[in-house]
Amino acid sequence: MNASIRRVLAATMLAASLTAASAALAAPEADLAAAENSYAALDYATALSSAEAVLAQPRLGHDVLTRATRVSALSHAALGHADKAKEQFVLMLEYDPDFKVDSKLGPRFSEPFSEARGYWQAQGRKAGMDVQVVVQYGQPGDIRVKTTDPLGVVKRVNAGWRWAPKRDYTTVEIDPSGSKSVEVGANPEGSTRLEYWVRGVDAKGNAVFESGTPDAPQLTTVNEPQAAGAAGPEKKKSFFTNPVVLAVTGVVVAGAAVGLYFAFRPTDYQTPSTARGVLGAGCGGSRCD
Amino acid sequence: MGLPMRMFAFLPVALVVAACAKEEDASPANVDIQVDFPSTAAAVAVDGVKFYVFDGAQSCNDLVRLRQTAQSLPKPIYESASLTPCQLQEGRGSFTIDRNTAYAMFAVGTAAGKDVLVGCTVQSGFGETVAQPVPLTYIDATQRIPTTSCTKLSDKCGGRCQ
Repeated sequence: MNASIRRVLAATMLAASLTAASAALAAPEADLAAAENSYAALDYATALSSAEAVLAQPRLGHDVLTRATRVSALSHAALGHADKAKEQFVLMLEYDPDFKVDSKLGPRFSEPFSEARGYWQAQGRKAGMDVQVVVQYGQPGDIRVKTTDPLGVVKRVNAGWRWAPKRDYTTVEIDPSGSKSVEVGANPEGSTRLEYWVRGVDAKGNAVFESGTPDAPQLTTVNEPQAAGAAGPEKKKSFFTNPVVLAVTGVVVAGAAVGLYFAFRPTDYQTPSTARGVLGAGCGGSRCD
Repeated sequence: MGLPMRMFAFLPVALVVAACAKEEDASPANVDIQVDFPSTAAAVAVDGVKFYVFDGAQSCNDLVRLRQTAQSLPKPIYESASLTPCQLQEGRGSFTIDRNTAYAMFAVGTAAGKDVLVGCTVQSGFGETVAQPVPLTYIDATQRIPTTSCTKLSDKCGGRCQ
């Protein structure tokens, strides 16, 4: 009897702890959904408080962080908090430099947004993270990460990589300033698919920039070089791979290009070294009406 | 019969090539330099804009700081008269630039005799027709742009709103 009571209690506690864990994971998404729904229902005060509840949480993914900041910026604008709206729009343009405010929303929205865009234009560069992977079959390679963070919100860059089907990532932390490389080991025998992710995170661990995630990594493959003279499966050859056809086509095209160039080239062209700078007026990034 | 038709088919291509290869005029071309107000309201609120061109070795940060602290600027290569945003829109201000030289282009917007907006950009290697804009932002945190009934700068220039 006692044993069965203990089993029931243990099962109940396990279920409760699993529910709490899944609730903690779901909390930012649930708050964000509430914020977006309130904004859509024009309840800007509730939308703002829900968005701020999301932004107060640590370790947000890039998508959640961007969407919550968007709701916060738009709600501040709708409530007439111009300075806070501009501040949030500046952050929003760090997270998503292509973000735009719908021009139909009116000056309460467009003016703080134009000011935020003016701030970024004065910076002269867009925020973002550029990730390039350089790997070759059987050789160590690297993941090159260039972080551009004019606001200085990115505190560290974390990266992870694995050769599939291995399950565990090799993770590293790199300095967020400028261009850095993460060394990638050579692919093991039988594995040609590299899976990787890179995240630039702020002081709270929120993903300001993201290229792949541990659950949905970016992929790149390496090809095994063909051994010289190896007898592979015979492929049907295209007409255009015939060397004679290629040579004749090349000669004809090159001849035509040279002929056209000499027939029509300007004889005394000179680019003027001076120009007349003419001032104009722009309003919020485009020519004033 | 077939050959002349084929020649006609190549005629547009030949015309395009000939047009592209036409001898260029060597006279200086216009390069548009847009002074970019943060919003239409800001363009309406500003009374005048002074535009300065300095040697590209000048730092924009230093120029802005000098202006913020009401100190005199270094000697410019070009200094415009005070132009209203309407005059800017009409393309009244112009000066000569060397395409291969770096310049610091600096602009100050004033309202009621007070500096309100400032902007600067350093650039070289000018394009054929358009240069980088000079984005204006508030000169300090105390500035506010008054609301306006104008939705277009041209409405203010035409006296249709204030």
